[in-house]
Amino acid sequence: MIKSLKATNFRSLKEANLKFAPLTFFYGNNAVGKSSVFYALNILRNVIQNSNVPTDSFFNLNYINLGTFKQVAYKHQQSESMSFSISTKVKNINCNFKLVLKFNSGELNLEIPEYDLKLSLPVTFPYPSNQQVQSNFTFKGKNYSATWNGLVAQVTPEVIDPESGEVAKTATLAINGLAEKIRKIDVIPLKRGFTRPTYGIIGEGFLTNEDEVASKLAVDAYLDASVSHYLEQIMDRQFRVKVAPGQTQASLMTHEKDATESYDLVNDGYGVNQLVYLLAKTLNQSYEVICMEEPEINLHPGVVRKLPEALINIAKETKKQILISTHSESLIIAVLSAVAKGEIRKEDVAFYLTTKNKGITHFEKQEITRDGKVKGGLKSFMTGELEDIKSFLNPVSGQEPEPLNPEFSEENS
Amino acid sequence: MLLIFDEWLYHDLLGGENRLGAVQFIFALSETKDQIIILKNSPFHKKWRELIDNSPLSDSPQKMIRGMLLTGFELDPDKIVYFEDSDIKNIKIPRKIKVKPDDAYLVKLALLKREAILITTDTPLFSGLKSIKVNVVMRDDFIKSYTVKKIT
Repeated sequence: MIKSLKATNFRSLKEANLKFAPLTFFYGNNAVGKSSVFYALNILRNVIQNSNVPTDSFFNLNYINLGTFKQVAYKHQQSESMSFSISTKVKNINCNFKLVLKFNSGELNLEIPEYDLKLSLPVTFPYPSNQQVQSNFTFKGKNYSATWNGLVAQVTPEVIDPESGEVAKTATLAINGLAEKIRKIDVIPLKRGFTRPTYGIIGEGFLTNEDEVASKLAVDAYLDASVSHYLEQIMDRQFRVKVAPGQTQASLMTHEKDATESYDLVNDGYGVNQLVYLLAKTLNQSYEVICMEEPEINLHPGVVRKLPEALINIAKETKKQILISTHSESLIIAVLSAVAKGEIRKEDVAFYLTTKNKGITHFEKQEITRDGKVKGGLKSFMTGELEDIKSFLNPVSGQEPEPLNPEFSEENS
Repeated sequence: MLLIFDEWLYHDLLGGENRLGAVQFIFALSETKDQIIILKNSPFHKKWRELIDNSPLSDSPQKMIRGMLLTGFELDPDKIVYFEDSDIKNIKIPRKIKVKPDDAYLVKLALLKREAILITTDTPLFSGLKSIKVNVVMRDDFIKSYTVKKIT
């Protein structure tokens, strides 16, 4: 689990400090910086995945290309560096990783407070992982040496004995596990869903497009069943992938509970379609930290209310961490209801009210109480409602408005 | 500031000529740190719950009012201070004022929380409470000054 993220000078995140829970929700107006949190995590993954590319390539997230360093820098200040730091626990050891990006170069930093170990590696991108930094540390009276290329490390004890060998092995696994954790971050963007009844089965890739997601569903024997299980929980629909023997084409099908016929997913409602895509990406075992953009899109509020139960079950059963951006009051209230009903601990949920002032994103962590309330209320969901209520209660009298289109004026009058 | 309301708030939010003023007042109140005092299971509490639980979805303003009460008050643990019957059972109402049995809980709440302000439309209740130096304000005076002060 990623415990915290700090991002500086990235888009509108001048200095953002966030503490995550197993389920973390971001809500607030449009264009206030909610998605930037997910982009920041995606950039970290890109660097760990392949650092041997120019700096600007890190900002190409596949589902969206954010542009150049200058385009993503806070206030487009090319001279300032931006940074992305995360804290996590690997092998029960707290590890901190910090990426500093400058216009043409960068810095990879690792810190393990328990060992008082700090490693810092200045690099120039593209970086083919061919440099090393070395540092010594002392733990429980014994000396160790750590060598790190920014991604992979080797820790060796000064004197070899069983105890120090074990410490060195654990430290090595922790550092390397940290990079692995970052690799297991995935983002489910707003633009999602399947657009064809059948898909040719291809290599898995990073599940960044519908072809890769469909292929994963076709080749992973367990994934379609898991998707179907949660789809049924949320929408009373079953899902399956049909691959004819000897064929390399997969058909995505849905089946209404208690109905006799199946449908091609693409001919079912788009809410179902995007939800299958979202569940497939969420339940895919290759990723552990899932950043979900607005899971409620195309869904009726009645269905949205069922989402938290499914997300809680997924988090419980798979130990995945889920970060969610949302505009849905129904979703947030359903989460609070789950807290009140004791289905999830309040400590396992974090709510961030996201606002923007003078071009800077602010995250206000709203405390949740055991009885499912949230300090400060959820007034942000009522923005603009007063004006609407006023117009209902105090309608402007006078002339009939002009028809939008004269062709319709007679038929509809 | 702690505020106690009698049932005019429910009636005003439900309809009538004071509805817009009541909505603007509730909106202004949600933006402040001021709190509402409610006695659980009191006539006011039952009507408050009715606004939240039974607002007809066909009435757009009522649906939005419900949303405001829910997101701005009910879901905020700091916005409503609830009391139980047991909290006020030993509070004695001075004999010099006459209070209708249905309003007794309001007076007792005001006596329990002397710093609170009771906002009412009941003139005899207003006069009676004034005479025993309880903070009481007539609805129209309070809403006008409060909404103007908080919104502008």
